[in-house]
Formats: sequence, structure tokens, C-alpha cells
Amino acid sequence: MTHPVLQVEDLRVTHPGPVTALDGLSFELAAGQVLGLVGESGSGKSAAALALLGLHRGTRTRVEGGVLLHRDDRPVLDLNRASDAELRTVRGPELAMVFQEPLTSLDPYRRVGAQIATAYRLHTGASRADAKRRTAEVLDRVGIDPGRARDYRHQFSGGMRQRVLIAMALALRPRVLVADEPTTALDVTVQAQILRLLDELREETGMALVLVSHDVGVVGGLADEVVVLRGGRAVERGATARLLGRPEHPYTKALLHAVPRLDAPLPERAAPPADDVLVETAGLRVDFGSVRALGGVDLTVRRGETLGVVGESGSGKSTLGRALVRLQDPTSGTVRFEGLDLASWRGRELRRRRHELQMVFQDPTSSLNPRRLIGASVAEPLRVQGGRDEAELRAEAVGLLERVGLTAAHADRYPHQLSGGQRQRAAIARALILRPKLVVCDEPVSALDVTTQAQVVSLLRELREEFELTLVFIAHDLAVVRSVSDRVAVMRKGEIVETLAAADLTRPQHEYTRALLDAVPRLDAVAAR
Amino acid sequence: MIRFLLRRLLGAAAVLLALAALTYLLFYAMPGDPAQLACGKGCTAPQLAQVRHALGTDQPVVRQFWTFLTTLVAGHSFSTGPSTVWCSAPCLGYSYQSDEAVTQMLLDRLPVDVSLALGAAALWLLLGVGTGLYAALKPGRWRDRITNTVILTLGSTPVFVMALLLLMGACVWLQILPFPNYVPITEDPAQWAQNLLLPWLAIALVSAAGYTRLTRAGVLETLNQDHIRTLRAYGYPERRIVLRHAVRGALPTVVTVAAMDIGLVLAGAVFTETMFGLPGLGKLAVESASTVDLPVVCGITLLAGALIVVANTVADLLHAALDPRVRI
Repeated sequence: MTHPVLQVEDLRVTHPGPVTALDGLSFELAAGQVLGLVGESGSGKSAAALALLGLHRGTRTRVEGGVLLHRDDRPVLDLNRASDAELRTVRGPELAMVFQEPLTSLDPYRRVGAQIATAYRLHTGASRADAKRRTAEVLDRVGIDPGRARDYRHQFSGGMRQRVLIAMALALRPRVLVADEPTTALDVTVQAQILRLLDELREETGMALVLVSHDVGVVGGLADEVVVLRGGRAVERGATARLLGRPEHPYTKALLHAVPRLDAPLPERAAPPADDVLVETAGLRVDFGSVRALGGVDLTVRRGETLGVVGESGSGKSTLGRALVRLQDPTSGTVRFEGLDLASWRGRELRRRRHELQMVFQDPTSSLNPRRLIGASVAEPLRVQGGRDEAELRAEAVGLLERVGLTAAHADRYPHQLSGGQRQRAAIARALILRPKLVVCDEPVSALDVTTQAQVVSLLRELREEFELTLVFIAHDLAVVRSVSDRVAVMRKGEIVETLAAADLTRPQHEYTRALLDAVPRLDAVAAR
Repeated sequence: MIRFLLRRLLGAAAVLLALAALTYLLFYAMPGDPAQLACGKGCTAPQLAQVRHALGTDQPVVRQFWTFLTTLVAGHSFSTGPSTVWCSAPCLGYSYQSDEAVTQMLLDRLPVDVSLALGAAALWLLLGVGTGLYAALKPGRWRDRITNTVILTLGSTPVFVMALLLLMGACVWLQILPFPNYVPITEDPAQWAQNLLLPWLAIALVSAAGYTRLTRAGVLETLNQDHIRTLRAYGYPERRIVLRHAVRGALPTVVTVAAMDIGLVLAGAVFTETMFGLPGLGKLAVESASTVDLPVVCGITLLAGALIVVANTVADLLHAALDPRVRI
């Protein structure tokens, strides 16, 4: 190995409490090299990423150990012991960072071009004109029309925002780029583009890259070396191909096993009869002002089946899901539930039958009331129906919580006292308490870690048998959708481009489906490298 | 934008109409007969009827209200004993008690309130945003606590107590200022400012507290946002982050609230005007309410309502101008 740019020695991060977030991480990184840090939430990977730039300073979090930055002509700088002023000079030109949430990581009040230009001027002392030129240059390099430098963050899509942040880093030609979950908030196709861009830039500029992700697939495609973190400790490390191909630590094996795969065998399941239709849409169109979210969707959902809906963000899949449970009124067209037009349900009829249609949302943190106990939230739909006393409500809620893998004790906790997976289980319990016929799950597992994801998916599989549910499973992850669905509808720009049996998903007819499939990171290809 | 303004205009018209109707109704239901008051003691029944007819109060209340509305749009002539006065639109009626058109009375008083509101607003913004920032730079430390305590004490002082303290302090004990006596800015700007200084201070010291808290909370909230972390990751000095970027996050709220507060003072600062003897709308409102001068009270109510509606609209426009994400 050539001499390192960044050397991390026994890095420890302790949050107030004290809670140990990172318990001794060491690695070396040479120019042009890519290190992957993989782990679930709580593994300490983000704490490590922030510590690399000294971003825990000014908080009550304590950082110990060494973060040594090697520079050609100057002495080695230990970022953990450097003064604030020293640290500021290396943040940007030496070490730059790209964050998980490209939307909130950009200033809402400033034009994106100005944000890049100011960061550039701050470190180079360049003139306004030069900074503007450099901004145009880097924007162009990351694939954004330099003319859009005058736009604000909200005028860009998620992928474009991440490109802006990458351009901001690129402007200063940092020697190390730390990317903390850079593609987690993005679609698969956009994710593939961003990863490709990062790799190209690494090659062009010779910068080293620290890629942090919960997704082994994302890290695997780019990293030379991977460190698997769990509970703040590195449980396994090694060259990417070896680690993914022949994992040694049981945790690494479990992690790899939980990654949904497109070639995994599908469980045997009797197909529901094709003539028993529960929901049917005809020419379903939804407009938001001048924006067409759904442009005439014809879809049938059979009783007892699980219909997967995949597509990129903006494809209209969430709008479709909301229309199916009458949370969104169609602009034109109909949604028929058991042969009846949903729009005709009004007043008492609507109140009486609403419970047959339920929804589980993507983010259980925001869909559960933070100020109410889990038990109360789960029982709420029953309470609204009336006719039950407190003891009955609680018994029902606890019964369902136990059914989804939680315990009676969880009923007396608040949402923030539960993990993400537990919260989603509670949200599922709430959807089921009214014994619905149709449950629409809108990205139910995309906010969860892979292992938790696998657990929630298998829970849904069990529950649908037990409660005789018809599920509509909306997700952008094709492998997850394939693993639960009987049939899959592929959406693009408010239309369904094709509907096919889950088993046939890997042999699509439509080229768009093929493009989606190609964008999914493959572990096998990496292992074979 | 145009649609927003049109919608606001229609909304404002509806609000003001309801306001006028309510004021009319309230005065109609109140004891005391304006004609009796105008006629004076020893008024005979025929005389009273004559005055009633002249005032229009012998008409049913709905009819009176309608006359009020048509007068507002088209103007109206009023007979004041021997002569007839033409009051042109927008005519808010005629005050028989002071023998003047209401519109003119209001226009005479408005400059006082404009002076009062703008000066006070400049002061309270300076004070409130300044202390808010000062507190936010080191949250939880002693200077944050002291600032909070001082500002809260000032903020919970009633404005008339504050006015009294200022008058006693500056004019009686220290004798550094003469007792305020309003001078229009057109006559002598220096005198204008000198005489308004205490009223400005009285309002500003009491109002600043809200702005301190808004600024402090806004800055601290923005400092916890992701885009501030980006700035830190790019080596921005902390001072610059607070003073330029975090303040920017607090700005839209502060400006919006300020616009509405200015509207409130414009519409008449009753206590301040009374305490300092300023001839503004608030003082006029008190006087005309106590003499049951219905046209004047109604006029003030409408003007105050209009000012507040305008202030709200301005607040919304400013908010949209300051936050690129807001589209109207």
C-alpha cells in the first residue's frame, strides 16, 4: 500500500449518557482508495463519519483516538487534537463530506450556485468571477446544467440535490470524501448514477472515499475494503470480494443473508383465484393542480393476493395507494371496492366501511403520535368505532401487539422509546386492529435496516394468511417487492407499464422494468470481481 | 400573486363589511340616544324628532347601515343646521359633535400613528433581534439567562406602567427631556423625534420580548438543521454561521410577526397615546366612544380593520419574498 492519506487509530465516540457509539475503529486509507463502512442503525457508522471531520465538536459527544491527516509538505495533523481554526482550514479542501439527506443538507434560502461558490471562496480566496466559473465547471461535471446555479434546493429532484452536494465537495478537490449514506434517500436508478459519478470522480481526482451505508450492495460495488460495524465495534474487515464471497463472522453472514435478492427462490404459494376481484380501478386519474400524478390507471387486485407496486419516486405509486383506500379522491375514473364505487361511500356508509381499507405508511416515526403511548395509538381506531370500554380496548391492542411480535410492555411506551422496526410493527398492529379487508403498505420497510426489513417482510407474510388480507405492497426496492408479492405492477410517470407475476419479474417485457432491474446493486457480481 | 391579492381584497371587503355591521349593531343596542346627546338638556319632543331626522336615527337600523355604505362609496351631503356640507367618497360619515367629516378627522390623526408605529418598530426590532442573537450565541449560559430575565421582565410590564416610568424618569427625576408634545415631522423633524422618543421606547421595551424569543428560538432551531452541519463540514467559522446563516432562518418569522404588530400599533395605540397625550387614532377612539359619536367610532373601527388586513397581507407577501419555497 502507498502511504496513507488518512489514518484512523482507535477512534472512540461516546454520546452523553454515556452511550458508546463507536468503540475503537482503526483503518488506513490511501489516495484513490475506497473504504466501505457497513452496519445497521446504531452500529456507530454515522458517528464515525462525523468524527472524521471533527463534526462532534461543540456537542456533548466525546471523541477519543486519532484521526491523522497526512499531507505531503506539512506535518501530520491529528484532527482530534487540532485547534478549531486548524480544523476549519482542512474541512473542505482536505476532507469533504456528502450527507444522507441532500434536501436538508442544502440551505433553503440560498441559490445552490452561491452555496458552492461561497464554500470555494472561503478556502481559496478566489474572486467572485473565478468562484462562479469554478461553480459552473463542477456543476457541469456532475451533470447539472450550470444555468441552474441560480435555482434553489427545492427546485431540484433528490438525485440532483445530491449531485449539487457532490459538486460542492468537488470544487475544492478534497483528498478524502466522506459519503454518509449518500444514496439511501434515492431511487435505485438514481442511486446507480450517483455511485457511478462518485467512482468516476475518485478516478479523475485521486481522492480517497469513505463510503458509509447500511446497504452491503451499495458499498460492495465501489469499495476496495469493507469494515462491518456492529454496536460500535468492527466485527469483520477485509477485501470486498473476500468479505462478500466468504464472510467469516456470523453477523456478516446474517447481514448478507438478509439482503433481499432478485434470484432468491420464491416461497410456494397458491395463486388466488383470478375471478375474485376485491378492488378494481378504471381510468383512474389524479391531478394535483397542473401536475398529473396518475394518468388513467386500470388495475385489479384479487381477493387474498399481494400486489406489488414498484416505480421511482414521482411515478405515482403512493398516489395510487392512497386512492385505493379513499385517502385521495380521483380527478376522474373510478375505484371499485367489492363492486361498489368508493366515491359513492358517503356519511354513515363511509364511516361504517372505512375500516375495511387500511394503510401502513413509510415512516412509523411520523405516522405514530409522539405524545401518545403505543397502546393508545394502536387502540385508537377501535376507540373511534365506539362501544368498547378501556379494558376491552387495551386487551385488543395488547393482543395485536403480541401478534406482531411486540409485548404488552410496549403498549406503555412512547414511539421514541421503540426502535424503527418495533415502531413499524406497532403501525401494522394499528392497521390490523379493525380487521381490514385491504391493507395498502406504502414503502413499509424502506426506512428500516436490512435485517429488520427481512423480519417485517416475513411478519407481513404470516399476517396476511392469518387475517386473510389482501395486500398492496408499494416499494422502490424490486427484490423486496418480489419476495412478498404474487403479482407486480411496474409504474412510470403515473401509468402502469406492465403487470407480471412475481416469478417473472426478472424476465420483464418492458424495457423500463429492465432498466430498473439493471440498477439494482448485485452482490454476486461484486463477489466475482 | 395577482390572484392572491385579489382573493385577499375580496376577503378584506367581507371582513370590513361584517365589522361595520357589528359596530352599528353594537351601538344600536347600547343605551344612550345620540340625538338626545346632540340636542342637549331641556330638549322638547319636536326638537328631538327634528334632530333625529337630521341624524338619520329615526330610520330603521338596516336603512341607516345602507346609507352608511352608500355614503362610503358615493359620498353624501350633510346638513349642519343652516349650511349643507358635501362629503366626498370615501366618506365615513359626518361627526355632528365636532362638525367635521370623519374621513378628514382620521386623516389628521393617522400621521401620529404612522410616526409612532414606524419608530417603535425600528427600536423593538433592533432591541429584540439584537438580544435574541446575543442570547442564542451561547445558549444556556449566564448571559442567555440574564438576557431572558431582563427581557421577560420588560415584556410583562404593562405599557402604561412603562410609559409612566419613562415619563417620571426622563422628565421628572432626570429632567433630560421635556414632557412630550407632539410636533408633526413636516414642521420640525428634530422636535418630532425628540417628542416621540419616550412613546417609542415605551412600546419598544414592552414589545421587544417577543422578538427576543422569536429570534433566539429561530436561530437555535436553524443551528440544529442539516444545512448548518454542511457549512460546518466546509469549514465556515461559527460566528459567520450564526450571524449570516442561522439568522436567515429566523428572519421570515420575525419579519412576518413585525408586519402584523406594526399594523396593530397603526390601528391605534390607546394606552400609549393616552399616557403621552398623543393626538392619534387611539385617543380619538376613546373620546368618541365616551361621547357616543357613532360615525367616528365606526370610521375608526373600519380603518383599524383595514390597516390590520393590509398588515397581514404585507406580512404574507414579505414571507413569500423571504422564503423562496413559499409561492403565493
